[in-house]
Amino acid sequence: MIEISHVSKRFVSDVQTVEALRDVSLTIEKGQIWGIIGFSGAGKSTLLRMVNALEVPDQGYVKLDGRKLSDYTEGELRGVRKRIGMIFQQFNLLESRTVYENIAIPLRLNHTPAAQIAARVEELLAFVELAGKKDAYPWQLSGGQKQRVGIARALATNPEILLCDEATSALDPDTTESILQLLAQINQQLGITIILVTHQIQVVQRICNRVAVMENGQIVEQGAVLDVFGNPQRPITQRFVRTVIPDALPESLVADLQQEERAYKLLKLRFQGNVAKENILYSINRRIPVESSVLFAAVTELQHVVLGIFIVKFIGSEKSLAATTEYLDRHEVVWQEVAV
Amino acid sequence: MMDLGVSPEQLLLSAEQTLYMVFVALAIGSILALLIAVTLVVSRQQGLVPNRRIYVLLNSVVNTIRSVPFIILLVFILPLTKLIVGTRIGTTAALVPLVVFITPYLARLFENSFLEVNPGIFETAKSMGASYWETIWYFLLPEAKGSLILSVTTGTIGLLGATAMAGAIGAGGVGDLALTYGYERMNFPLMLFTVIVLVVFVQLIQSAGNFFAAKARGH
Repeated sequence: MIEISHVSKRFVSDVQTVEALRDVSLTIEKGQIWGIIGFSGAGKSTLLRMVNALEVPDQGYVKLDGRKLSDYTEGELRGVRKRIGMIFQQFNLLESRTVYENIAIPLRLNHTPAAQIAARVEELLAFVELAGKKDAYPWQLSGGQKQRVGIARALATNPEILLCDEATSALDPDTTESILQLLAQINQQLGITIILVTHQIQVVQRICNRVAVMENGQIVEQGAVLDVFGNPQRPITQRFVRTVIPDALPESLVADLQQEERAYKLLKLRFQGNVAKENILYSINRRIPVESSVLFAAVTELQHVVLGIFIVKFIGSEKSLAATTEYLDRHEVVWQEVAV
Repeated sequence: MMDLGVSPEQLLLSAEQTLYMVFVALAIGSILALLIAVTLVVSRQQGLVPNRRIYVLLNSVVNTIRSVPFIILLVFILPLTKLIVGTRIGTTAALVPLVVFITPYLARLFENSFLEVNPGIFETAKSMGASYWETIWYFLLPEAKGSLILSVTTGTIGLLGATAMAGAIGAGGVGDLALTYGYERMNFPLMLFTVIVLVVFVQLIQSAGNFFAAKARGH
């Protein structure tokens, strides 16, 4: 378990003072995949580096398995870092070394016998599907292959935690997808806790089960991905979520609505899980004398749960409209009225 | 064959003296320069273990020595030469000023080689739990190797040029041969011959340097 408690960090230079982290708290349980999302300069990388003590908090503390990192000696911290793998946006491979040698480095640092190194590297190469690239140099590899080498290197010493610093930001969408699949596989097969920092909401949507949204050095929203993305509270979260799950009415429809003379209610309905599979609108129309028309719909899958967002115009008497919202409540459909 | 006005033995001796001076000074100078360059890179503000005092001190020593032209350095440090090798003249005596000359030169070149290394690998090293020594040994040196070899190549060629002036303290060598027998006796064929020999030397050194640097970089 990783416990980040009330951590603040400030970078002072001659030119400016940057409040990188302001009273940040986060608890990460074993086996979770956390996504830390935010725009550049939000403090996400600094937060990530707190976990393996590459950055030290000014205030607050980071606890790993119940012990504060600040209580470790420098030598002990090196031991802690060997249990935490890290991969980077720019891969940071040794350009002058082969794939094999790159993956072997953490093992050499542990003084692992050569025969064991050879066996372990072969095993890792097979795991990241680079078996044929053992003797290649980084310059001969594509970005995705380089990141696979980075991942193999990070996994060499069987870490419990894997830190990913914008690990897919330099990759094209297809390659990103394959790297994310690999990370998900690492989490499921090896039980490794993964924390990844990203500015790509798709990354969080694709593999994370927990998310922390950061802005100006603070975590403004955190929790299960489904909860946070399903019902984003803060403007920044809404901005992020909107890029993958749009929930706003197109301008032309808004103009049409302003012409509407009959009494109507515009509701944004949020279906989650099984609810999304039932035909709520059909049931309403059968039971209540209202006319319903779907103006907008978006359906996404998050963490294997279907999330649907519908904006529906209900036309009918005041009584019927009240009955409609009451029906929605009874069937646990989250709704809110949309103002035009 | 064209008459060069000197015996083949003399030619061979000169070549031998030049090679001796270049390679011994290069070997000692490279080791010292490597230590200085690593210290400079590690102690600089953005380095692994920033230490302003050490950095400023080393940096000024390197700059000071580098600002003295070799021919002046050669005579200026004669007392030091006498102290170390027991004599002020001869091929071995020339090693002292050659080392003093080439060490800061190489140190600066090596420092640049180290600064070319992707700074990201230092963070990577730290994240793997590498100690400072391990970071230097497993990350900094291997990554800079190709560039270091090219720096040594440049240094060797500079050293070859400096040996010509070492004749001033009776060190001999190809350059001295060209000056005393070629220039002062107006022996043009000998001058031409030594120039060709030096050109060939430089070409060989550069080609070897390029070859090994490419190899070190895995190309």
